[in-house]
Amino acid sequence: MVRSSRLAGRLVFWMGMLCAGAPALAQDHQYSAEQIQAGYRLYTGQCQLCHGANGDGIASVNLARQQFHTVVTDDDIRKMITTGNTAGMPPFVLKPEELDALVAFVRSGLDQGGVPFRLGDAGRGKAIYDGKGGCAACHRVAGMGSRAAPDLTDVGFIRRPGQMLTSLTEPLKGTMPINRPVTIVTKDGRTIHGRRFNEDTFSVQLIDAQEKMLSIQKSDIRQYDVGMTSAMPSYQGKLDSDEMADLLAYLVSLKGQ
Amino acid sequence: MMRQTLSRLLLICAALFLGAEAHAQVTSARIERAASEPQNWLVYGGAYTNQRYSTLSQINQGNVKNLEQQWVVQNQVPGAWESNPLVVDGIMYLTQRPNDVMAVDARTGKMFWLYRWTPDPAARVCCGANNRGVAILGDTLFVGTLDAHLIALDAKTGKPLWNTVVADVKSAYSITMAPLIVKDKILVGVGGAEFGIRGFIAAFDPKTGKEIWRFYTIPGPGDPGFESWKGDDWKTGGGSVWTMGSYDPTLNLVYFGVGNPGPDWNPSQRPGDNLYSDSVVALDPDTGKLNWHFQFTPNDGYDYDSTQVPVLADMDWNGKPAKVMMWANRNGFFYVLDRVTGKFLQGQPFVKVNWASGLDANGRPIQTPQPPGQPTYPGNQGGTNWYPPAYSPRTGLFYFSVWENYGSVFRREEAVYQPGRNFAGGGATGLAPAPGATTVGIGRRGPIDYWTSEVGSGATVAMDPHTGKRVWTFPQYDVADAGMMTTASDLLFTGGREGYFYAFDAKTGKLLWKTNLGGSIVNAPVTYAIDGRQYVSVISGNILSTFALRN
Repeated sequence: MVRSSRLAGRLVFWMGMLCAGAPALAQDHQYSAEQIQAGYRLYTGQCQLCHGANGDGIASVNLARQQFHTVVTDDDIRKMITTGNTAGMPPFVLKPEELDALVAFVRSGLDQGGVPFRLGDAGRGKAIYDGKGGCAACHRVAGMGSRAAPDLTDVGFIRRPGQMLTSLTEPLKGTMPINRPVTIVTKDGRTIHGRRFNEDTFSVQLIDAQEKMLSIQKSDIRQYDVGMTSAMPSYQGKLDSDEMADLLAYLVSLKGQ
Repeated sequence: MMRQTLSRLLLICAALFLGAEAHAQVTSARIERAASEPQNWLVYGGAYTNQRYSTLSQINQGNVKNLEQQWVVQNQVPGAWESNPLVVDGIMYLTQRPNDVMAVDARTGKMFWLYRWTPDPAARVCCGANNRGVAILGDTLFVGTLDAHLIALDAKTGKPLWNTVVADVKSAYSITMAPLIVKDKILVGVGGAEFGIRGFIAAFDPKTGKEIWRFYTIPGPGDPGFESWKGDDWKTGGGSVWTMGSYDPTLNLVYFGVGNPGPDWNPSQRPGDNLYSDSVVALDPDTGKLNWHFQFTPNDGYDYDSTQVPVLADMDWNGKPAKVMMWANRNGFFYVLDRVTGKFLQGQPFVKVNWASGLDANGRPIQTPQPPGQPTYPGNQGGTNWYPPAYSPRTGLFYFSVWENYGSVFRREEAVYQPGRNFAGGGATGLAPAPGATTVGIGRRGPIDYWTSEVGSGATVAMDPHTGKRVWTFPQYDVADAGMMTTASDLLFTGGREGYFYAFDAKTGKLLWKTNLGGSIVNAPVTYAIDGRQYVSVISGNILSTFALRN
């Protein structure tokens, strides 16, 4: 299942990349908070019964993760909603603005919070990631870059665009709790700076600043601090809105290898 | 040599003793005295009191560190394994998803038979295709199904004897609880309060499967309590019964916890107290007549099912002997009730609570609804939930799993009833420290804890029922849905979502032994003995693991 969903994700990614070059799709995709929220209301009433609250109610379709059978573009989503398909999706009669709202809600990864976002050009976004953004100094994609911060190889699959945008503009607010920086002083006097993979009542699994995987028993720890700061800089003001849209499009395109 | 001869002799004696007993039927008289045959686990909670207290004491505080895994049974069906095993004269009976029943040699884990029931595809359950176990009477096992059938099986062959339709699957009635045997009747309740059912408890004839009486947990016109509903709201009023009840033979009363009203999260759509949702009802088991009730959460908007297992004990209360019922409720309050009359004796919050500022002199909550978008504590899954607690008459303490610092933001919507469809009236989102961060909910999401204790954590708690105060707390990093089992050697066995299986000193909470079983422990351990050897069994993830002292 994981393999096939990854494969499907990759397919969507490459098809998306191909289509992104087509003139008809060259313009930005802007999704407003109002659209996403209106889409959420429509979704709850009309779609949720079959697709489920998390968008994974139909086998091998995951709306939140942009995993579809045939859909690639926003217009494909509109067409699927209005015409249905032979697999059991009924056709819906909706106004154009209602279709836009549903598209926005699906593209937001079913974000009930309705964080607005704009997707630019993923190719230009990759250039910003590698160049001006300096992202690879801490992050890693497909085996390239540092392991200091979370590996982003499949970030477009596991995070919503709105969440990634929050991480770019307000890193502290966007940090997943497991990714907070930890500092451990062991009873034998070692100081470890790292990032957690996992934690339970008795132990913590992490990767340290030297990229070493450690599993530490809490009974061996003298001092344990979970930092409520983020090592990630804010890109608010450092990237203009077009660059931000491009970078976000690139991150959204990272669906895993 | 000498040792071998001696142990062989002991074995023969034990076999003789067991042989005589193995043919004995599980009569209702025997079930009533279940606590006096601790080598067996004849009913869900070890006895009708649901204390989950065993007088077995071979495993004690000194040797518990020598526990060793004896065997496992693997479950081939994905999803939480919430079954509660019964052990009868060396045979273990348990269920697995969705409605399979098995008989296992309790000494080796080898299977005698496996009965499979495929529920109607129309079956709907809100929260997982769960089944919590079987009941036994005579040579017959009884199991409820996801499509609301009650099935009787020959305990020795696993073949069905009768199959009764308890309620209509198309209206999303289901059965997930283990049935309760009381004298010559099988009592069982139905689930489906997220789908607009009208809940009930019914009694059946063990010989024929014929229904004898039915008590609606949501009263109809002319019934007492009907005045707590407006218009036709009662018709879809919910009130599921999905956990085990308790029975007091001296009072001839059975006690069941009742679940949430429907629609689940929108109390303004059903004004009134909505009896007997979120209540305990005391019924005459012969007739199904209501003797008394106590409502924990009137007009509930938080899904605070009162489907906890009622724990009965006799104790001194303010200098007088009292028959009490102890109840740590999903709504975050711990209650002690007089189980003769239903009178409220005392109640205290045991976790952070902000939906009520406290309880009045009659135990009624003083409700303090939070503004829209603000968190309510405890959250949707409650301060505790269905997982069975324990009570030790030796320590006088009540043991249960709690969720600490766990809140949810509730959303209310107008629900429209369609038979068999979701009738929830909104939803709940667990509080998260970052937008879109994973939070906690029903069941663990995987082997890695991405959500961290920032969204709430778990604990094993020992409560003094007289004060409603904690005597000890064992904090766990992840939330805990494990049930409890305690013994006369003052051991408390339990676990948590992280997969550790624990033995504590029941008096002090000192951790004496633990082992990592690798999967969530979501029901309670049981203990039994064969040939004088004590065993402890627990389900963790997809295995049932059985321990005994190293030979």
